[in-house]
Amino acid sequence: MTPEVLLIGDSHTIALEDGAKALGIATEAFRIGGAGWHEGKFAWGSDGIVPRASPMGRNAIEAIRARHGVTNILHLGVPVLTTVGFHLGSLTRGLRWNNHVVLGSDGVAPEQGILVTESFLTRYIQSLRTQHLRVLRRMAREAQVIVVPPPPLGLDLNGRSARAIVISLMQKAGLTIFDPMQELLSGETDLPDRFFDAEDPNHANAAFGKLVMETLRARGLI
Amino acid sequence: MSSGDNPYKHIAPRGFWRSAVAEPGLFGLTDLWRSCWELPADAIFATFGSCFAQHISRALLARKMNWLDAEPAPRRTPAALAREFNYGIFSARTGNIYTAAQLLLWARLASGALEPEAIELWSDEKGRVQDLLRPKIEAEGFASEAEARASLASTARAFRRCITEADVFVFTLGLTEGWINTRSGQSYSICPGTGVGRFEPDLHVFKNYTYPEIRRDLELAFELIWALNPDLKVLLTVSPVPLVATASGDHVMVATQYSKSVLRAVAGDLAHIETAIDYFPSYEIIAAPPGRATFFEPNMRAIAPQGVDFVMGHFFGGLKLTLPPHGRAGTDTAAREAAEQQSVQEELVCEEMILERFNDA
Repeated sequence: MTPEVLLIGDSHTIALEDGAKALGIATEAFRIGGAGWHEGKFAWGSDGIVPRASPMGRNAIEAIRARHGVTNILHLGVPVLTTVGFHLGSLTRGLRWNNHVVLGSDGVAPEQGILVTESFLTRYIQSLRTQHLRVLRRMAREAQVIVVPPPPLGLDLNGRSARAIVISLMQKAGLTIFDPMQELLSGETDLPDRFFDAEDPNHANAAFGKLVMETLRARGLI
Repeated sequence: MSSGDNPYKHIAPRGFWRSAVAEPGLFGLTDLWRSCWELPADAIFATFGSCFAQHISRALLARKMNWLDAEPAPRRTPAALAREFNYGIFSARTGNIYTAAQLLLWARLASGALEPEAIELWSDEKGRVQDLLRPKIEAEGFASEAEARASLASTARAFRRCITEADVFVFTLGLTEGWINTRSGQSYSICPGTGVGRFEPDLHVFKNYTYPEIRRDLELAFELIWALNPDLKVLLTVSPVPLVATASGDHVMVATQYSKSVLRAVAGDLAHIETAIDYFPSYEIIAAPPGRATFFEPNMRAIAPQGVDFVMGHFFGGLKLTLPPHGRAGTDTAAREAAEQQSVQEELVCEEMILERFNDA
């Protein structure tokens, strides 16, 4: 079956896959673990994006290529939804080690820890996401790419700040962002309970994915 | 003492210029400094002060000694970025502490005697906020006053950790000249209007701190410091680096010599009266006659790396790390490696250098 959407990402992409399935939207998906993305275990080659040191990821790409007779999975001629570039648990791990903290939106100074400023954190994240932004831009030249930031589940203040910074860097890089928190939830800070399950508080569920996919389809983005 | 005897007969050869200096020559100088303390083999050092203090932290890192970085950059911060944001330069992100008055401010902040709200902030035309105690600490300034104050509080906590966790607090005295706010009394790191802030003649006045003022400020600072850690040893040094510029009206060379002489005298006197204070002669090693300016770069201001090595050779030669290790680490391995990476840069972080921009000659 010809897919209507290609999904590229990590565990956060599963909600979108499940949502698409519930809506009967045919998808192809290529996922590797968030840690792999974070560590930059991927490259851009003449045949598009390829995972490094991930036999399962490579197999997934090879399977998509074989099924559709393409050498570059971005040449399927369908929109690409991606959660690549966030992986916020890994991204903020370096902050946790020595208890670095950002200033909250309430402006109240933390009583403990080492404060990192917004401008430092932006540069820090930029240094860890250079490859991601470069590859996403390359992908966006080959296909219609929409970045869907994972909702802020299981994130501390650093993670939430990092999420906002990654989105901002992507916007500055000219990427198309569909942030469900802004687009669907009027800028709410927390994802409503109905969109994640108690047994997995770090990932959104199929209901969330369905709402995202419905909205994207209604807006003619997929 | 018998008849015909006199005190000079009992002075060791190191007390005579001919045998201690003239005959051995610069590179034969020995026994210039002997630490007056026995320290644990893994003694923890915290370093602060003027630009020259950075050489001490770098040398400690290079020798794999226990240098305390109480405010390290997050893990995986690229070395250039850490340096740009002044991580790993001093033991906390205080920036250069040029004067005793500034050290007293930091001691007050660390002890809680002063709140971060007392430190003057300045907003530039882009709305970025600068902390006038650390005018270059953030490359682009702070996003808000709240962030600037939170950062000051964070650095004050780190400075406090340096006091409570270090065995030796190394402080390099740099300048007698500074600027103060006539209304608040705050001492500035650099003159407002030279890098950040706006100069207001009625508000910002030049202050060439005198011996009694510097000594009083240091004594007050150490009183606060020892209240937090009575066992902390203080090692004073005087930077041999001349002034970039003087606002005293004197020739800069004369002003430099005055400044260094006053600082040297205060440091020496404090070391003589207080057993927890010692003085290390980095100033003499570089600037005294036997050096013949050998270790100065052609501008006769910057110190050549060979000079720094020479100074630090005497420093480590005089340390007595003879007590059993206490087993405490100053800085975790990753932060230490990060600080080592950024410390290999040749350039020092030196806010005072900004003054040269205003030299029209």
